[in-house]
Amino acid sequence: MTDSLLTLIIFFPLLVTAVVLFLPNGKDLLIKEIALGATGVQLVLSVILFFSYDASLQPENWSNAFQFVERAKWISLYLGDYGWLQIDYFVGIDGISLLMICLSTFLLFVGVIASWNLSKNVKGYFILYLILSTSVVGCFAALDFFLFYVFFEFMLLPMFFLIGIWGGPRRGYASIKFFIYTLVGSLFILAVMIGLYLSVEDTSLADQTQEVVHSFSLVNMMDGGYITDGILTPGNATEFLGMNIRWIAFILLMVGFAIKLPAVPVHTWLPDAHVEAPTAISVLLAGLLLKIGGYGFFRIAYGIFPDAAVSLTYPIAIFGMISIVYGGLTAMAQNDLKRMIAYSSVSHMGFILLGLASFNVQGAGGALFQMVSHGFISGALFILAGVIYDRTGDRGIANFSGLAKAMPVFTGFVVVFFFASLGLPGLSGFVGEFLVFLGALGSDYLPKWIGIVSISGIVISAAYYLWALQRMFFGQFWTREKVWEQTMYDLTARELLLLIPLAILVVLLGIAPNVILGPVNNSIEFFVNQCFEQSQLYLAQ
Amino acid sequence: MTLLKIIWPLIFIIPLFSGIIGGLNHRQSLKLSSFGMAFGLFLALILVWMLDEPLILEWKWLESVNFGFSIDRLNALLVLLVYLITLLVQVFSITYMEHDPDQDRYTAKLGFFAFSMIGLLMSNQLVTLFLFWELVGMSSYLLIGFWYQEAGRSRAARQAFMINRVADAFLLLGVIRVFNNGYATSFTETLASGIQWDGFTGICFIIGAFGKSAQFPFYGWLTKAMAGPTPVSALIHAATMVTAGVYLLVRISPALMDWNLQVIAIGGAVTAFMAAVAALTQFDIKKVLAYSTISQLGYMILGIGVGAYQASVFHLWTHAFFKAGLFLAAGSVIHYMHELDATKDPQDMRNMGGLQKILPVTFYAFLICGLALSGLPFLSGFLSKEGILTGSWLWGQSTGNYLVPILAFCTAGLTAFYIGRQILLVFFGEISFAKKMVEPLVTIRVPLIFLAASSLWFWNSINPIDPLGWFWNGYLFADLGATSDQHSILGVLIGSIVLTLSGLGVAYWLFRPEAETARGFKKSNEPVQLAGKISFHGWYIEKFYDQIVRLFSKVVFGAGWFDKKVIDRFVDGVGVSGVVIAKVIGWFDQNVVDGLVNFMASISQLIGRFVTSFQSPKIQIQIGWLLLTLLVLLLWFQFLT
Repeated sequence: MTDSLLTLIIFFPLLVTAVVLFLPNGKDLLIKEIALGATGVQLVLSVILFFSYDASLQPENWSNAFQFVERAKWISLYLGDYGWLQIDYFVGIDGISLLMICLSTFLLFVGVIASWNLSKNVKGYFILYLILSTSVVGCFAALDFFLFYVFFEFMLLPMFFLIGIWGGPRRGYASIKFFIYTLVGSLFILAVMIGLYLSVEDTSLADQTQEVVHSFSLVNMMDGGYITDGILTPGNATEFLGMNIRWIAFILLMVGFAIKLPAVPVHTWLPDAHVEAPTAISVLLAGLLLKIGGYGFFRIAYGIFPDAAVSLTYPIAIFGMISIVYGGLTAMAQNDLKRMIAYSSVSHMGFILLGLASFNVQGAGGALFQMVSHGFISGALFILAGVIYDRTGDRGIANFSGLAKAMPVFTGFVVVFFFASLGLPGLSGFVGEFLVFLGALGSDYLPKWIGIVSISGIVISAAYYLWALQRMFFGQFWTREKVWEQTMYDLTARELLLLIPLAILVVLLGIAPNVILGPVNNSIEFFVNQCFEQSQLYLAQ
Repeated sequence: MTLLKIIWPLIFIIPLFSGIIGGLNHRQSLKLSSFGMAFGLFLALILVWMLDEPLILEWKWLESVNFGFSIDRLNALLVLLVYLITLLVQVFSITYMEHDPDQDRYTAKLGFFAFSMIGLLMSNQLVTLFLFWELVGMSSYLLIGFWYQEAGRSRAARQAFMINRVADAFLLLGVIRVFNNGYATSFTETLASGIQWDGFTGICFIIGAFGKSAQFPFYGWLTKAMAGPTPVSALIHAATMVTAGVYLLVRISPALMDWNLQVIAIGGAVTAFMAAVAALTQFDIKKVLAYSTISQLGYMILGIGVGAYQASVFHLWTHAFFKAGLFLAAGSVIHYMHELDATKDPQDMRNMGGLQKILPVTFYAFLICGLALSGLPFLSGFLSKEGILTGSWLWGQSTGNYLVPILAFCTAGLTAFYIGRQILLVFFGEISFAKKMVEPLVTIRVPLIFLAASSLWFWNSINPIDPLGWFWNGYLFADLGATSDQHSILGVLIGSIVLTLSGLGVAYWLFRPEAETARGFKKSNEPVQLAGKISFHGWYIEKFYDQIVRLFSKVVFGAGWFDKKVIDRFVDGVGVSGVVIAKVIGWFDQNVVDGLVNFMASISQLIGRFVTSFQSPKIQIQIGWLLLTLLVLLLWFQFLT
């Protein structure tokens, strides 16, 4: 069963989509149950994946760093002088993708419960939702750049419609903005992908055909299977805008993924998309789609261009620092609870840039942990914002006061997750930040001041969360509209069902972070060492 | 030892459990929780009794980061202290909070606070310490803002947390630097390795400790913390939260550089003096005590800086008792004032006077604890303060820096004055009201009597004037590797007694019931002359914070504006220009490109129409045309060839 476990996890929801397509329109509850079942199966399978993952594996190079590998020829074309074009269905995971897949399946499952009350065009919604599940997980498992790109682009479409149809009042603007922003990012990635394709060959296949076999295999690209005079081959002195072409390619990739992350200054699609998206889609957007940006840094930008990455640590760290501080400051200036949370995401994603820029195990591990922890925390925060919106149709911070009186349990959860997000030790948010600071201040590549300035982020995040807490939840109970007062009932059973598992995970990861970092430690160490060694190798050429 | 290995995790976890159990039981929450805490106290006593070798427990938290606890005699004793004070506060609260509908929440928060504090004290690894350090901050935030429906109190809670958070960011930086510089990451290893930290790391830790222990410039949070229920103030102020910084500095002081220690000494001395000055003119009964706490913490910090950390720990111990006693007695007063007239501010000393006849137990408790604070011989406070004053004097002699001892001695005189003033204003003089109330027997009297009795000298030392006689001295400091052998010095002894007596004397002279100032006090307003203003406003530290906050909010709204008006405007601009370009191209396409095509089409149409015009539906005419054409062609060929 483990032979095709990964494929099963990826494509099971798509399979179910086919079933849903043939159901009549009225069967809303059945469709919801089927979607819950499908994501549930995905979740169970990924838990099996987590426990059957071999944590003790210590790879020597990328070609044996992946487990659960499945590879099948997909497209083979003979292009005459250009040799063979080879695109594979090639999937496999290391520790980094393992955590991302587990996070995804968990949040996708939670997302179905969060959209349980949906009544508008249920069938269409869940068909798109299930397609999204397949493409997100596929993205994290793909080891062929082309396959990755297909999944990456495929994610856009359902997301566009999910925001554009089921969103709030300005959904049209938000969805278009989201779509175009991300599309621009993927164009950059596409350009680099083609350049890489032209520069690497798959020697394992070349033996059979006598011709050069160009492939999109990421493993091949990471292991440095370059042809001698390819455009992106290390040592190629081609310059563009006064910079080595590999540096340019790396920057294009970073920009492409930074849009997805998002990092300041290409972040402004995020608040709009979040504010307009329905609750469940916000959860996925913050919990998963942003992580694909971070994952892209790990797997593609850093994995393939470590030489450029090690030379550009300084600007990357500065962008990380700016995201942390600036994101926090703008979060404080927001009047809409959901917008504030969205900006806090920008701030927290800055830690990923900073962690990666420090180019050491602590930094990379912190960045990875931050991705997982932020997935849970921001998911919960968007659910919490949705709770108020469901009851009143409003989220303005200034429109409420003293909610603790009317909704004590709800306020309890808000306090827990706000504190988790502001990095209270004992909750998961702290671990990622701590490791990133440890990495950034201990890095050989970064000046100390970047880490020191970034530490002010923990003060800023406390400032906006506590301020929001004080304005909305404490004080005398009051709402802007009198009619809202009756609708401010406490959490329902369904909402508790959503929040309790998230709270347990956030506490568990805060107290015992090694539960997830232990199994993937070898992968992170390998990632960092390999990046370092290859960067030295490439730079010497 | 095996017994201890079983009981220490219990000691660690009991406050949390008793908090949860109390929190789940609405009606009996405080009582149930008190039983839990009493059991924990019993276990803590066993721990202190039996502990010999330090217990150490460690496990891997992250790949390169360990999580660990250690229990030696110092923290065992302090854990006992936390249990004791928490239990007394809970018992006291049974009456104090009896009408509060949210007792369960209160109990749960108290339990959580005690749990965090005990965790902090037991921590050995720095990361563990930081974890509990922050949890203490959070639980104090929750306790200060307990009456969240009053906007002012929840604001005060937030401000207190934020001030702490700023200092905590430095502490985090310090912890990270310890890791990155390859120093030992636990207290036990730091002590064993004897490594000196670099100065910057030391400063980071000092700032962190100054934050929690309310030293300059962070002391403003402690007066804000007065917004919490009064028993909580006793808990936060007396035994627990604020002493965390002192405790941390005691632990790390062997690793600090000399100039770091000097910063500590001067910071502590300056804070002690400033806070004592601020306590002189307050109207609010709790504010006097708050400033007094800051001032006494300054003593402890100063003691560490001058190398007399044994005396600091001693003072921490004695101060916990008499300050908790003062706060609980003040709570009893406030409780009574509130019952009496809910419209007046129950904390304003201008509404008080003559309470000794109505609340006798409270009065004697306040008197004994207050005199212990002032440092009168035969009371516990005298002994420990004597140790610190001696240490500072010797330090002054050896370094030639007499600023620290001078400030310390001035503070001693001021302390006696402000506490004397408070005792006289609250308990002496005319009673302006007549409602008689019996102090509840057990719940309020027992904690007060206990705390007052604990403030007598003989619990601490047989010799009432020599701090070295402290019973715990030998017990505690063998582990730390350094026992003091400094007996008190006669000059310091006499000096401090003289200062204390004269402070009390001046207070009596000014505020004895028949004095002018005492009579005028009831109608007095905020001071108007400069010195009075500085004192009353606590050296304007809040103005200072306000300025920073104002600056910060400008930055915040600037950033918000920038994001909306510049970055997003730019993005929209790009979007709009894309649309405009598309429109232009669309126009071009429709009118020029397509126009060209249409133009061609219409031309061919024109030609077609012209040609068609020759055609006619009549077959005869067509044949005619045909013949005509043939004729022309024939003629053409004829003549050409």
